[in-house]
Amino acid sequence: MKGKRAASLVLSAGFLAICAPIFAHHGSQGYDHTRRVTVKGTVTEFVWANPHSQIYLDAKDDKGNLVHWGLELNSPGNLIREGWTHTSLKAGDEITVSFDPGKEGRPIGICVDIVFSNGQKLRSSQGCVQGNPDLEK
Amino acid sequence: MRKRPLEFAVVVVGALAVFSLLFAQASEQATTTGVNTAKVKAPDPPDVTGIWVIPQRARGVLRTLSNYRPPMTPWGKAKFAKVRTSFDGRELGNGVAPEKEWNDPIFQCDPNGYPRVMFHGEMTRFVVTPTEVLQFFERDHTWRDIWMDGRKLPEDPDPRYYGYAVGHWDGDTLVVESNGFIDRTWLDQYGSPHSDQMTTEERFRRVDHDNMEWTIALNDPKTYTKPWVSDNIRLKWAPKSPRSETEEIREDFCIWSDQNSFFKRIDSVGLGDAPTRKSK
Repeated sequence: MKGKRAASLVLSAGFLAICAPIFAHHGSQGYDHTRRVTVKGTVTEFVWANPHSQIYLDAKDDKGNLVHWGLELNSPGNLIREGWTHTSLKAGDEITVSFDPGKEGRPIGICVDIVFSNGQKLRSSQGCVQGNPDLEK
Repeated sequence: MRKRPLEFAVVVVGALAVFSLLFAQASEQATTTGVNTAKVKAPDPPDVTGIWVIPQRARGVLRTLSNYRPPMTPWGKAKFAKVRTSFDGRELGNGVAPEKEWNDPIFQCDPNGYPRVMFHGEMTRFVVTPTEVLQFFERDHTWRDIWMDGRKLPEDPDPRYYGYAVGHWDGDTLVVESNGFIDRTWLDQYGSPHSDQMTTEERFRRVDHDNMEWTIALNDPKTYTKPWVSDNIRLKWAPKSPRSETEEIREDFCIWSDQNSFFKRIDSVGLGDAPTRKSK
C-alpha cells in the first residue's frame, strides 16, 4: 500500500511538473477559513515581492515537532498601505502569528496577524474573507 | 413671531455645521499634503502635473469604466466566453470558475494595458513637457506618451498594450484621443473584452489644486453595440503614491520568477474551487 501511494504521489508530481500548471491567480481557496491557528516561532525568510509577500517561519507544534510554515501576505504595495515596510520582518525575528491555516493540514496560512515581542502589531488583510472588499491582487 | 427664534437657531446651527465640515476638510488636507491646499484654485493656464490617485471607491462601484457595460456583439460575446475568473454576473463576470481555470493574462505578467492600468493601479502621474504629456503608472512601471504637438494618431497602427495617444486643450480640459490597442488585454478584472479597433476619448479636468475629473468614452463597434462611457471618476492629487514607502511611485513590476516561486512554495493550483465572491 505504501509503495502504491508513493508511486501515485510521484506520478502526480510528475504530471504537474510536465503540464506546467496554468499560472492562475490563487485565491484564498486553499485555506480553511473556518478556524484560526496561532503559533509562536522564528522567521526564517521574509519575501517582499509580487504577487504576494511571504513569511517563512519555524514553530513547534503541540507535540514539540518543528513545523515550517509558509504564510501568504498582500503584495508589497498593498502592505505599505497597511503600515508595513520592506524591513518590517527579517530572519531571526521571534513573532506570534495568527492566520487561517491551509486545508488538509498543509503548513500554509493567510489573513495574517502578527504580534512582536515588543507588542507591536501588523496585519496583512490578504485572504481575510470576512467582510473584506474585493481587491484585485 | 414665535417662529423667528427657531428659524434663526436652525440657520445658525446649519451654518456652524457647514463651517465645521469645511474646516475639517481643510485641516485634513493640510495634514496629508503638508500644505493647506484646500480650495486652492486650479492653475491657470491649466496644468495636470502631479500624482493622481483614484481613492478607494464606494461599495458597489465596480473597478472599471462604469457598472453598465453595453451589450456585446457576437464577436465580443465569443471572446468574453473564454474568460475564466472568480467574478459573477453582477460584477460583470461570466460566472465563477474554479481557480485552476482562471486565465487573467496579468497573472502571467502580461501588461495591464490601458485603461485597465488605471483601475488596477488606482493612480497615475503626469509630467508635462513642451511637446507632450507623459503619463506614468506604477503597475507595469510604464508610461504612455500623449503627444501635444498637433500630430495625428497613426492610421494603421501596430497594436500596442498602451495604444497611441494625442492630446489638446479644450479650455481647462485635457482631451486625449487614443487608438492602436492590442486585443490581448482585458479592460478590467472582470474580463471585459475589446478589439484592436477600439478607440478612446478621455477628458481630464482639474477642478482645483487637489481634484481632477476623468471620463473615458470607449468606442469599439466590433465588440460592443454602443460606446461605453465611464462614470465621472474623481482623481485626487497626492504628494506620493499611497503604495510607495518614500518614493513618488513604486517600481511595481510583475516578475515571472517571483510568480513562479510563489506558486511553487505556497500556492498550488487545484486544491479546490474558489469561494464565490459576494456580488455587490
